[in-house]
Amino acid sequence: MKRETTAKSSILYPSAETIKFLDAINAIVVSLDKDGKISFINKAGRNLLGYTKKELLGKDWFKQAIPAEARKEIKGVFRKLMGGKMSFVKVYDNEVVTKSGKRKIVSWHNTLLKDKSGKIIGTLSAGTDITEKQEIQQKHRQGEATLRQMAETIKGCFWITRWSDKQTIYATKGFEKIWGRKLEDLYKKKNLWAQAIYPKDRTKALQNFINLGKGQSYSEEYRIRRPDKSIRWVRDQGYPVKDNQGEVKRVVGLAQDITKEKEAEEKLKLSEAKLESIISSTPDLTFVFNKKLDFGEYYCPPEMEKTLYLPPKKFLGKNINDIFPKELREVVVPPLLEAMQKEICTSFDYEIPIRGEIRYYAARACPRRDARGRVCGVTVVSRDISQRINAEENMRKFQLAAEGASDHIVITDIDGKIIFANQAAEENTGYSRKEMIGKNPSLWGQQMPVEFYKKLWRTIKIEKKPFSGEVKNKGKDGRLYDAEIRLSPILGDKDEIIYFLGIERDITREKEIDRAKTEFVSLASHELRGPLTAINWYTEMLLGSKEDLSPRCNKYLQEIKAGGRRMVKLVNALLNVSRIELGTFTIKPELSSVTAIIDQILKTRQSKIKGRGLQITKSYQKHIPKVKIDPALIRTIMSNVISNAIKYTPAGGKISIEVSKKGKDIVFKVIDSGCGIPANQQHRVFEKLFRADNAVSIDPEGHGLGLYIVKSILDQAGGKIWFESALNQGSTFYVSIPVSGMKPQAGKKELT
Amino acid sequence: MPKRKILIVEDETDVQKILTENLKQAGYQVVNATNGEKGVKAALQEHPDLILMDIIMPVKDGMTALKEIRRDAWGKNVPVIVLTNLSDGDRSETADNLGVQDYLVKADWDLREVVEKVKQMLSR
Repeated sequence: MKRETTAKSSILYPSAETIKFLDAINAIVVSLDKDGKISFINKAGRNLLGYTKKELLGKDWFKQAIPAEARKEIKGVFRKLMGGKMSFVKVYDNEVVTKSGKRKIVSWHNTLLKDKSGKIIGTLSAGTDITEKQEIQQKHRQGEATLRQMAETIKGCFWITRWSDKQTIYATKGFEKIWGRKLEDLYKKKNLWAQAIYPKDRTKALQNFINLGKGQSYSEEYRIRRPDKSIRWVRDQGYPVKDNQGEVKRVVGLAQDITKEKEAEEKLKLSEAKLESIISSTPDLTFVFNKKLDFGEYYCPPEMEKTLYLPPKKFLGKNINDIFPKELREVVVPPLLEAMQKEICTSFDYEIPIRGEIRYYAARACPRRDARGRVCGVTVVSRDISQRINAEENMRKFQLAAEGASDHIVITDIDGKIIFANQAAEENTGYSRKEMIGKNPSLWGQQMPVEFYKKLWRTIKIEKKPFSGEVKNKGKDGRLYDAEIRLSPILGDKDEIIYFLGIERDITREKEIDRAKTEFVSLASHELRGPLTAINWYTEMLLGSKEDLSPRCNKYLQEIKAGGRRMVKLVNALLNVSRIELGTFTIKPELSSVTAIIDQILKTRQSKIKGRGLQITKSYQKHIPKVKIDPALIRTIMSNVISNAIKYTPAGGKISIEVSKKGKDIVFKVIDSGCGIPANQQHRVFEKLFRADNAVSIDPEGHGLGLYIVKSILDQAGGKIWFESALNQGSTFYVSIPVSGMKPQAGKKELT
Repeated sequence: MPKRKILIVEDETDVQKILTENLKQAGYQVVNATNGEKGVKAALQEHPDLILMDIIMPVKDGMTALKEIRRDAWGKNVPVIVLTNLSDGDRSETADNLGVQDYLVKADWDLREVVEKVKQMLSR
């Protein structure tokens, strides 16, 4: 504020020189005469009010510059002053109105002007525009009020602590709400704040507070314990307030209750965890326990409901100790307790009998925390691993059993890699298990045509059916051996291949014995022919001799001759069988007419057909192509089938023979009206030496080799034979041969 | 016209007797040999018009004997019927290569048929 004494000596109307001086100063200088009329106003005054000199000089100050509402009062005061009736007010603030109507606050310093006689003639006032200052102060006051109001109403606690003695000098009401303690106590007990902090969080919180002294602010979350033992989460933010020298004088902060936030967060975490476990592992069972191990919620995929130990009604809310039998408790309870006590996740396996079947589970127990982060129970996620365990168990049992088996047993994975081989496999192949594991069984195989292995894999891998057959294999030492193999795909629950099981039997020796047997039959048959020839020829000589034979002799000799013929046929059949079994018969396909062959056969049987009064119907489809077949073999095949039809059809019966081309096959159909084959024996018709009961009674002298030979030839040549038959109604035999012809076979011997 | 001479090389006495009797009855001269070795000797000495040759015989089998006979200048063209207990399917290629006129499995043929074959062969 400028010094107002400058104008002290001046009179009511200052001189031009004085005016110059007064105009130069920033203070407002106004002199009023006794009536309140403006006798002088300096430039600062005019500028403040916005009037020109003319508009002010000689005018009533109160009318011109004082707001209407205050005019009466102020003028009253002025009059009293002039009348000497009031003690002088030296400093006075009042509002003035400018020409534009704005209000300004001016702080006045007043002096009474007296003439020489001491008579009061007016006033001289020096004023300062304090409008801005007032406004700032006003704002300041308002701000402080708002702040306090805000501080009081915010949910949190705003606090100020004096740094020198760490005394909290101000805290808002929020403190009481959060801490559950009275504000007065906070002011009284300096360490109340620290004491309330949850012990585990205390060290860190105090460290942060101390760091405030180093000028570091903080924001952190900690738990506090209220007098009622309940726990609240607090987010506390502290800021150091420094003085001019940079010394921390006070620290201020805001503490907020974030318990709900934390709870929500915790719940979210929990629900996220739950969700995750449910989504990521559908087959998992999730059980939630409280601290006492009472069953809380559980999550179970719908398809697993049936595999629960107890229906939910029976375990929800119950204690694990009341539900589980002792053996199960001993396995399950300790890891759950450990999870809660050590606050870690534990893993354990357990088995549980469910409807008479033991199910295996792999479980993981993790502690559950409440909103305040305290362990409040345990979550157990169980996975049914029965299938795996059972598979392992089965595998183990199987390996144990397989180990000592005399047959060579190998298990491979789906790609054919060996994962197990027993001791016999080592003996059979000569390879050690070390050499076999991880390799393919082709290690000792691969001696057969590629097609054979293609068919093998197609059967077991695509059709998922067992494959069996005889193969030639090669041992490690290069020895070729005959093996009978049986390969089976082992399927899982979903029909997927888990692994392949291969059983192999070295049948080299059996084969040798078999061969020897067959060779013996062959040799014996040849040797039989000699005496047989002698008998037949002698009989023929007797029958053809010129001497008269008695009718009885003649009859017996005829019987001997017929028996000899049958014997020759049997020997020939046995030789064919031995050839088939040795695999030494030849198939020499040549383009032939199948119908011509059938006609020939019928021709040779003509006398028999006529003798028995059989009706033969032939029905050949037009344009049956010539086919590459071995005519001798087709003759053997068809004469067998036709002979049977003739043999088993009663006198006067009908036989129909049809030949047609069906798709890729030539199909022969021989329909008889004979005795038929009993249904329970039909499956044995192609067995070696088998004869149906009714066939034996009709023809006691048959040997049961015909259809066996026929089937064997067709199997080798790529044809087929099958039949339909009804007892006492007749049989229909079908023989099919591919139009593409018979498969040639370069054997040593032909069948007769 | 002198009697046509037939050599029977056969170790089975019954068959040998039957054939001899029946062929003689049919008007042929019959010479017998009981194994392959004797068969070769007899053939080269007697120069028969036809040889009936068994295959499975002691000392020397019929095929070996036939081979030796064919090596001889005379033996090259002599007609031969193989009469054997070995099946037709057992006949070896050698049999075919040795110019065998017929290959007969004894048991499959009536005696009458065999004699008929011989007659046909020699009437050519």
